[in-house]
Amino acid sequence: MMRSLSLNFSDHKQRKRQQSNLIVLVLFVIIFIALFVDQARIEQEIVDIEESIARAQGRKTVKQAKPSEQDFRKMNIATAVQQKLNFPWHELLAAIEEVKQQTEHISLMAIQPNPAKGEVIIHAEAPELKTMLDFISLLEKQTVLKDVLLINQHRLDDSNDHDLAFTLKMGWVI
Amino acid sequence: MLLQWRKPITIALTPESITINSGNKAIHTINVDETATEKSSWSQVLTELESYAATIAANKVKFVISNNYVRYAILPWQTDVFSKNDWQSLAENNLREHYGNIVGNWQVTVAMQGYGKPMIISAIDQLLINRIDTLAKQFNWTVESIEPALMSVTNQYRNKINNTSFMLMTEQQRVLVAEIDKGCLVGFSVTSPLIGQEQNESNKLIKRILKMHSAGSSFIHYFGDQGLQANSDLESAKVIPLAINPEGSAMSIMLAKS
Repeated sequence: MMRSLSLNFSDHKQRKRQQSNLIVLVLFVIIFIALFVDQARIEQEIVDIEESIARAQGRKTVKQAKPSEQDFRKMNIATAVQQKLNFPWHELLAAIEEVKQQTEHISLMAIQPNPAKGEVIIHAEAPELKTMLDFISLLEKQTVLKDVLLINQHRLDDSNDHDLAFTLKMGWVI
Repeated sequence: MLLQWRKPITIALTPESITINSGNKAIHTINVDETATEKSSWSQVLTELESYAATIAANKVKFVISNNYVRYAILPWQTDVFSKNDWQSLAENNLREHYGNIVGNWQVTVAMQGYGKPMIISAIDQLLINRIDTLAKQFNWTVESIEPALMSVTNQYRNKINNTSFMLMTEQQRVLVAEIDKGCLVGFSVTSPLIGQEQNESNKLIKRILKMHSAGSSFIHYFGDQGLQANSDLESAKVIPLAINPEGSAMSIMLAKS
């Protein structure tokens, strides 16, 4: 194979500028590598210091493996579940149960708690308007609930026991 | 894309035409008014390029210069010369012996082919280089290289070229035969025939060289117009086309593609 020829007449300064660009790029790469190496050195130093402190205190040191991405994902799920469990479910249900015992003629059709918004929606049926108003006033007295609001009500034509269906929206004190 | 990583635009300059190959499918060719100038004069060519330059985007640019505008010579290897400056001075002296004081107006470059191998000298009018640099500054081009046509073709086809052979480059009014021995260029023969006489002159030149090297290779690598190659009557040599220019097509297109 023939050797390649190099007979370039272009301005030397321009080629030098291109070379200087390359040098800057190489410098950046070197700095990046140096920073990476230094970070690894500092981490190792931290581990060594922790070990020496543990030895001085007579504890056994346990090397902890770095958590993987899967571990982080599991941790996030666990935190979310923990948060949901931390809501005062028991207080809410106890308050509704207490009110229900005092207004026996009310039929609870659905309870929709929304912890994220801090509100509860209750669908229920009552035989008459007074029973419904009593139910609302009793709910308002509960400390775990606030701002009870009647969203809608309508008469039921095909029911003998309950004439009124209604929906309530209230704040949930978390 | 960053300018640094872009593929350069290739601009091939020949006395008949200018070809701009920006890497796209469409290769732009500008014909030069041949009646207005002599073949060895590059002024008209650069004037044509200047009028078109505004349409060429700021980019890296590679110039390929026709053999009409380049002088070549071979400098034998000398064991006691080490520095590049010494080789440069020797090259300029060598050209001065052949061409006289006009060499002072030329930019001369020397290319090594390896230890103990002869040096290649090439020279281009300094004003041509200056004019290209001015154009580049004016239109914000980065001149990546200004190469003689011989260099572009050799580097493009060096895998195809036989280690011991000849390379024939035929342009209008310029025929160049480069002698290759053991993978190195060892000699040049150049003629400047009249228009239409290129084929006869290249045949004569090749025959003369083959007679001089009767024991040598008879492979001839050809780069040039189809018309010239088709009528070749070289019986003793095997002509191997590197690239053939379709008849009527500009030589600068071939150079811009190389």
